[in-house]
Amino acid sequence: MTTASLSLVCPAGTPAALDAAVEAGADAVYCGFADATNARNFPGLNFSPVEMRAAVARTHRAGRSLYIAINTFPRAGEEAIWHRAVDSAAEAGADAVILADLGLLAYAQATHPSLRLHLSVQAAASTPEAIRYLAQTFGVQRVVLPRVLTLAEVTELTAAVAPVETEVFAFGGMCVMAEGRCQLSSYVTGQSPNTHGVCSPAGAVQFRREPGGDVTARLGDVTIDRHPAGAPAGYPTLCKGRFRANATTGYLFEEPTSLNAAEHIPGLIRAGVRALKIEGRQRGRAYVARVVGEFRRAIDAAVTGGFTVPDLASEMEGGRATAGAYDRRWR
Amino acid sequence: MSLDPTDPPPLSPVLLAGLAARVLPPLPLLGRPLAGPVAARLSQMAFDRLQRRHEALFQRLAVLGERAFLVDPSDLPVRFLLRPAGVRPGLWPIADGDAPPPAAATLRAPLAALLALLEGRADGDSLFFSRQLMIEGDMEAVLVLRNAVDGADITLERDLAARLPRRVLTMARRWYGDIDGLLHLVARAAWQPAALAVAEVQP
Repeated sequence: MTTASLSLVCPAGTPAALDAAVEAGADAVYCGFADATNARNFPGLNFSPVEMRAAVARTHRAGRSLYIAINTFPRAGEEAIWHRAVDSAAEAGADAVILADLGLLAYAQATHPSLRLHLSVQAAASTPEAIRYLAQTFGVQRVVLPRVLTLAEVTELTAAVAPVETEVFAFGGMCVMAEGRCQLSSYVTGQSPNTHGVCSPAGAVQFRREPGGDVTARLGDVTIDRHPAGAPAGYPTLCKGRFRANATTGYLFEEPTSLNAAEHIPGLIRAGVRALKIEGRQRGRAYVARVVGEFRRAIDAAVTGGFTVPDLASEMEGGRATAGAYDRRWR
Repeated sequence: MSLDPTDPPPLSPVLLAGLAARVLPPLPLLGRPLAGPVAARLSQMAFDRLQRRHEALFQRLAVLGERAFLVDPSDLPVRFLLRPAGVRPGLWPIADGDAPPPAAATLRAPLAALLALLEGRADGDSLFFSRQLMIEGDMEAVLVLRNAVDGADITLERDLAARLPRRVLTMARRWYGDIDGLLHLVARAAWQPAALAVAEVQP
């Protein structure tokens, strides 16, 4: 499928979404097991070990790759759950596992030496020193870079860490905190994306329509937003909440917005980035089909000519997009 | 009340049918009869057929136990109680104005959006971001339902209307598309003066 050196890595939360991603032109698909070992541990989502084996077989038949995200940090005393996930990934025939925890990287390297290791964005490795250390110590072959780097920094880092490959996020949810370190969800709900695999767990989320028509969003005991009916919405996370501070009501951390770095595809190809990642394992197969299809066309056009930035406004959180740190001009 | 004046559904053939059902209750199959015994029988038949054809989906939904959902097409004067699992699973229409039985969560959207979600043609988060889909209640149950349904390969035309002649389905789809297109044109035309006024104000 690849016509460019840039591989398109796409999300799948269900077998149907995986088929949609492959059909739409993904070079690789990433999935997770239905437990706390992956950072999209939402109810009704993800794959059983049996489903994962079938998914690997289907993906390989189509000539594509399948990566398994085991990208949360094992809870003390419960490491066996994470070790079992790595074993299941190896048994399923995954092309790579995406890991964040150093202990888990060591376990994977020692137990399954032929298993390809990718470093998750959750590990927040953003310097040549950190990446070289992880490559030399654990054999990490690809690093998913945090969403805090400018295009110039990505270019510089990619050259500095070669032959370790770099992968960058191109579309989807924006995590504005230090990846893998955020404690906001944990602070309010007792569960975090880092160890439970879920930011703003569904059991703690409530939406309520108020008598005047406004909609209130609550996380645990905290009201995180209230807006008129019909106003664009975002995920019910604390970082996208609207609060009153110093008599002003506004988004304290970040506005509900999706990342869309499509305009930078030619630049990322020139930078030598190996893979472009679409976020959204929690999204439906319609999202996967649409976004993957548009990015497939954009990447191919960046190589063959006629490149245009795809319009994906309807898929975006809050109905708005940002190129994020790629365009950052401040330091 | 399923139609909320603060958040009106888009102009569509379904909305027209819903409005007709409100103002023409004596006509057969309109108004309260939408939730009458015939509609109840048809709803249960549709549910039973989907249950038979999508066994794996309903196995995934077994974790919901007795939890039920109030499904509210915002452009129709009828709601549905959906209980996908438990002792007595099924789908029951509830007339507008009747008090709905207790439900774990409510899903409210125009009928076309709800059907698109059911068939995996629309993404639930995108509908939620644009406020076409409103959710209240047990979010965990909603995610179980949404993710399981999205993972199933439901096609209503194939699953429910397989016995109807293909020509009838094609004609119905074309008529619906034609009327929907005309209504969009009417809606745009109705907004045109206001849009021009806004354009004049904004440089």
